[in-house]
Amino acid sequence: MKHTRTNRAGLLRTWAILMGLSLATMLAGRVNENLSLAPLWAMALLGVAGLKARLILGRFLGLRHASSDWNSAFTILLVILQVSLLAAFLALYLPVFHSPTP
Amino acid sequence: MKYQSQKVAFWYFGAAMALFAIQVLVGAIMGYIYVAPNFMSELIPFNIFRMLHTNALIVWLLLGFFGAAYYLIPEEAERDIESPMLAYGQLILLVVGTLGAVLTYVFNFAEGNVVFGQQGREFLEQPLWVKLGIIVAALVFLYNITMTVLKGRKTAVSNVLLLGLWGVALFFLFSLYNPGNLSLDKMYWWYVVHIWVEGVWELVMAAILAFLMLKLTGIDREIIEKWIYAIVALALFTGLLGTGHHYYWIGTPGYWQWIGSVFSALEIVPFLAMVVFAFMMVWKGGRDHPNKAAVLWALGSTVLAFFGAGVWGFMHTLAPVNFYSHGTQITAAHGHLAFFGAYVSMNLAMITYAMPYLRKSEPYNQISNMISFWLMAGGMSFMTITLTFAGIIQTHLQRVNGEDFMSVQEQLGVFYWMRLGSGIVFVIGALLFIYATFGPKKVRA
Amino acid sequence: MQGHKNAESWGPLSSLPGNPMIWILILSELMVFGVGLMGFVIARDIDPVGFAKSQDSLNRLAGAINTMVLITSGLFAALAVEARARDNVQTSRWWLLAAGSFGVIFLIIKAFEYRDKILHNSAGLNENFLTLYFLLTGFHAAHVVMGLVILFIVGWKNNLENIETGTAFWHMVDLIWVLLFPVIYLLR
Ligand code: HEM
Ligand code: HEM
Ligand SMILES: [Fe+2]
Repeated sequence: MKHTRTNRAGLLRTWAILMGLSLATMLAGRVNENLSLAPLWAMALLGVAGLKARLILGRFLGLRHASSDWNSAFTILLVILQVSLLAAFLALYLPVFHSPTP
Repeated sequence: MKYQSQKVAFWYFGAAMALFAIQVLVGAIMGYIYVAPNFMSELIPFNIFRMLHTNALIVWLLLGFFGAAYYLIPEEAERDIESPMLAYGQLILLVVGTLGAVLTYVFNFAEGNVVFGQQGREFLEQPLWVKLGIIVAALVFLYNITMTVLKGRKTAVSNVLLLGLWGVALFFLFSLYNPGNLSLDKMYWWYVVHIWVEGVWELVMAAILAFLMLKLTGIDREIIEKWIYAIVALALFTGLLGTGHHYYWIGTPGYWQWIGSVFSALEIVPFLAMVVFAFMMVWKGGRDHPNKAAVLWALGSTVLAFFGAGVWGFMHTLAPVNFYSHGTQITAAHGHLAFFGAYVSMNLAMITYAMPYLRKSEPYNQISNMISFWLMAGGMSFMTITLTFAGIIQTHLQRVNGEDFMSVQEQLGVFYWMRLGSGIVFVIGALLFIYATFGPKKVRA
Repeated sequence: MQGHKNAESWGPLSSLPGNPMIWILILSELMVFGVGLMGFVIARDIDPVGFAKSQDSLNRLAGAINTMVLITSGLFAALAVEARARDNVQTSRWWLLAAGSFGVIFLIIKAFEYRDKILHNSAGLNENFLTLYFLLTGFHAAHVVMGLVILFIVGWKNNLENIETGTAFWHMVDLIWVLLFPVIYLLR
């Protein structure tokens, strides 16, 4: 068990980045419109979400003070999750689904 | 054996093994009835044999757990059992209850009677008076063990074991509640059946495994404690809401299909953790313990439980799969390997470990014991595979093609013959085990 | 950094900050919500049109604002740990209170969303969507409630380890929402 070492400036910076990325999510996900996302935007959306999750883990939860194995393990886990979600979303474009446009 | 009162465990193990023998012999008879349907049908019908088979299983596993607790709690708490007399009394109560249940099933002399008649729900067929007897026995047991722990040293192993055994008793109370509404009836029925095997029994299993690892390897208690806390957390986190995998088609709301699928899919994790735990401990702590057979059973148990409960459980736990496989031979395949791997094998591991101490000798008959492991593990694995194939074909013919039940059964005959064959191998293994642990012993040098 | 008595006995888990049990929980929750979200997207593949219509009925802006509310609340929680590490007990309590208050704001916004959905516009929506929407966000909201209780407890029994562990739970809730929101509200 370890204790995290943090400083206020670093936390505030993390917060600012996360807020910025949240705006990016809103943009990529077109919060204000009822339209369907093009594959690239979907990719951006899930990518940014994964990045935000990684930042929360690393900076707020202090994962970056842990061993590099753990850091890679969580990165890999998040990548697998976001990539699977993207793949499942894009599966709609496969011909097996009758309506090719989502 | 460090404390005189641990001797109690000997009698619990003895009673458990007697019932084990009966259970698997009845299993073999049922296996034969499957291929020769009229066998003994005038004397004792199949459903009665089935009750004997499953009830004997549950009761002997519980006797084994009680015995394990009476053996390991004194060593953990570093004092004698609070009252050995109560422990013997509890055993007598349980034996009387078991005989009562058997007589009730076989002669059915009190059909329909609220107190003396058998109650009909699978696994919980015991007449009311036997159920109440079981509860009294459980209370006596819990009093005895809890007092021993409270007055002695408190360890993670005994804490987890106590939590598990209190849970066993608590959830058994739902067996008394049998609402008229069939959906509710099933809902509460699973509180006992599922939460036992995929919740509180898992805690008992983890505690026994941890105790064996402590004794059989040189690993520090601190490390072992961390592992079992983690395993317990995972088991409860996934297993409790995992109950939802039985709520798909019994009239409960549709969201259970999602809850059940998601949580039960993760139930494989604690079983995997137990495999990793056991192998890491034996590999790292590789103190050469003379009781090789106990090590084999402990390791084997985690692996077989991982396959039987984890993999075979996962196979039919997602709602869209279970829609087709529900109640087919796939369920029977899973039920057999899971029960055998997790609870039968862990009990046999504990018995293999404890008997030489209880009988004051060196580990003995190790070769026969290990052969019995391979006979049972091999027999049960083969039986599981045959039933799985039978189940897949049954699912296809009956659920997809819509053929009727009996005509499908006729096409599965070859699998039932193979099940009988592997079952007989298993029975031989079981008898060999009993001989190896209770038969002639080597005198301490 | 005060060492723990059996710092190394957690094996590989020892190098993680806070109580290792919380990391077991974080991993478990990630898996549960991960599998749940996969179920959501796959259910979407089966009826994309119904899902698109259902997703359009959500208040996306409310969801986005809630993201920011939680992230800000996470900052406050982290500042509480920082203050406690400098032995500033009272300050850390104020930060915990701030974090908790934002948690309450999150729940209020959520409650309005639910009210709207239940009273006005759940008719004609995809059934899997409704089930999963309520299950996933509801399960998450239950964690927020639980988190509030935990923050209260660690504010009261406020040693560093408790505060670290309690706020770790809070960050996890935050983390889950960051993954949940885009998939349920925006991915269409
Ligand atoms: C320790 C070993 C064994 C365990 C743990 C065990 C466990 C069980 C369980 C839990 C059931 C109920 C299954 C369900 O509800 O789906 C069952 C039924 C059954 N068992 Fe066993 N059993 C064992 C050994 C055997 C053996 C050796 C045979 C011999 C062939 C056998 C044959 C059967 C049969 C035929 C049924 C009835 C299945 C049905 O109703 O279709 N069992 N057993
Ligand atoms: C050691 C642990 C376990 C034991 C002893 C066990 C035993 C059993 C038994 C005996 C049944 C049949 C009940 C009946 O009579 O209807 C059953 C059903 C079932 N089990 Fe398990 N099980 C275990 C763990 C698991 C796990 C971990 C999973 C999932 C991952 C699982 C999934 C299921 C499912 C889905 C059913 C229902 C089958 C159906 O619909 O017919 N089990 N289990
Ligand atoms: Fe179950």
